[in-house]
Amino acid sequence: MKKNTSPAAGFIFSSIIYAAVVIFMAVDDLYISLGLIVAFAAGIITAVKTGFWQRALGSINDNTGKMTVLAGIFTLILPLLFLNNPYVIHIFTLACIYCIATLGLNIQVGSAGMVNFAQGAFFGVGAYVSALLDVHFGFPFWITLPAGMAAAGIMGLLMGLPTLKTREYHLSLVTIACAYISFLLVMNFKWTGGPDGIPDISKPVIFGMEIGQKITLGSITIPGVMTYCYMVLAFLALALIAARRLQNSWYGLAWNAIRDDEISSRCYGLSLTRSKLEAFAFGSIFAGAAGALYAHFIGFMSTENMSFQIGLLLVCMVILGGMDNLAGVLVGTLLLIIIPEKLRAFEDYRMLSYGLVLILMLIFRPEGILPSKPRMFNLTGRG
Amino acid sequence: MSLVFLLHLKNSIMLGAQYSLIAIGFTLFFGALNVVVFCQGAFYILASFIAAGLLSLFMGAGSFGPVVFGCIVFAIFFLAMCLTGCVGMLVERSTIRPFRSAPLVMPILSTIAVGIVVEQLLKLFYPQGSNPQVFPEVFPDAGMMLGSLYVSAGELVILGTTIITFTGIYLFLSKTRLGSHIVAISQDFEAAHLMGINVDRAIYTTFFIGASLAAIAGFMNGIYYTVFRYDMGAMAGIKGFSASVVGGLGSVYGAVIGGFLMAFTETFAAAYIPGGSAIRDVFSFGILLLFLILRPSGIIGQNSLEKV
Repeated sequence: MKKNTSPAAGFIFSSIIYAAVVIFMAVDDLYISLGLIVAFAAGIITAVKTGFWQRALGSINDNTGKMTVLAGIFTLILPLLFLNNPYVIHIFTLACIYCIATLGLNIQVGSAGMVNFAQGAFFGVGAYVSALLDVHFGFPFWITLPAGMAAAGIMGLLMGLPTLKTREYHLSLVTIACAYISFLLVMNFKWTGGPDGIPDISKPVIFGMEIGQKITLGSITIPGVMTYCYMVLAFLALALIAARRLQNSWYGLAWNAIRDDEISSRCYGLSLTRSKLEAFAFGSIFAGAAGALYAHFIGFMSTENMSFQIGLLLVCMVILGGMDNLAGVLVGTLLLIIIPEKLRAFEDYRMLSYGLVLILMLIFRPEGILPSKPRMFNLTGRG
Repeated sequence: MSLVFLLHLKNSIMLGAQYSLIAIGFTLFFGALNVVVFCQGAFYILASFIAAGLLSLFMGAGSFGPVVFGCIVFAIFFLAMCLTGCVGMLVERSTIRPFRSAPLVMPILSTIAVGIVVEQLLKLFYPQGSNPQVFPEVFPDAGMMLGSLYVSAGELVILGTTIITFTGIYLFLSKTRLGSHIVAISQDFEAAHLMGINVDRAIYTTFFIGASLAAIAGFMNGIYYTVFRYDMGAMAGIKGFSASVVGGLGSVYGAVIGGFLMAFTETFAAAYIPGGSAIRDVFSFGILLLFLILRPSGIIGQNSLEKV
């Protein structure tokens, strides 16, 4: 691959964005937050008009390796900047948990072109299985997490079955129906706690240390969320690596082929059955992991967190960020979690603004904030 | 037959009429444009709000003679229906037409988003919008006995409206020029275009009719259950879509059959399966999944072979 841009533009660009995000997260006042959003929007428009935006994105695309390292360092530093503001770390952790779920959803919506509204249900399955095993049987987190992931994966496979004969609208309808069915069942079963939810879910323990416990090092107190945040970040890194490898593998190629043309990919010998089921299974495993992390983070799980609305919100995140682009998906998720948290005073208008943002995005920038790159193949065979 | 059974039968017919009307809308949209308009439920609930608002304004204005009262009530329903139909045309123009040649994901999402926006606007800007609303009682408190079953005036009106609407749709599609245009574009969009049919006008008409049908279903819901809430539209829309898929998407008869099938299943399962009423929606979605696995083309749909 030829490199024609220096990483400088990308470095400057990412640093500005990072500084903006940090300032935005640190600000508490509602009107300053609103002002900052306007200022960011103006800044982005100027950047696009002057051509800096395109140059910077090009530079980032050409230096993926360096930029990934930079983003990793930035992310690792972020919680440290908010040592005395645990609330911000809490929100950031939540956003990272949702990132894992949207990375999974991206497999179905972005890569394979199947709009799945049931990701919220898989999130719930992972959370509930993990929470129930923990509360009723006292299994440690390191057993309940894989159990939750496996349960979500099996649910995904099961939901994949009725979608095999369907496409497009019918497929979305199947996922909507499944989302409602699982919500109603969990709501009405006795052993799931019904509308009361499951309280008192324990925190994970690693090497005898409970994660999410306050740590005092001399004069510095590290808030409990901090340790959990770093654990979630580790899982997010694993999820990102897994998603990236899936995207670059035969699986990803097959999903893209199915998205672009089902009939011709079948003519070339792809098994639609297998590929679709794989997309559902892999995607829901991610959601299950996110759900389990969520349940143990909050310590409480109820049906509210697996409703159809959650599934819809996750789809919005993928669309906003950019389908089939991992960085885009992360950006979309962070935006849709952090901005509404900052504008809590307008809580009532949250769903309305989600709807409006979705319509505007679809009309004016259907490819999302960061559009997906076309696959590039060269002679060394690395895509 | 026992009275309880008859009551459930009446309930399911009332519910089935609503589902069928919504489902016909889905079928018409799908036939005309090959899109599924997920905001059909928003039309349904919007119409209830418009009608209830206008009716309570009018009933607060003073008392009238029975004939004048009846005429004005009818006019209000008609006005609310037309307004909803116009909203339907607006939705087509603003959020469906831009995606006519885009991937199918786009209209799915944009119409869902429109549904959310309408619902939230009602919740936030209608007075007391987030509370359940009472639908004004406009029909006299009288009725008749059918054997041992009491049928109220409102229910008779619902039955009559259902039959009239079904007949009207049938006549419109088969006998009128505009109706045959709609049938033509649903059979072959491009050929219809080439034959000189004004495609845009036919599509506008389709959306007007589809949204009006959802509006009628919304009135029925208000008249029969007397209480409605801003978030009831989404579920009604999804049930209507399910009904049209069970019946066979693209077929008007299928939509009617599917609507009643879903309503019967739901009502009787809730009534006769212990603990069933809390999870009644599970049964209707179960029917849907069963159909999608065993017969994805629906009761009346043909198996479609896609040509390359």
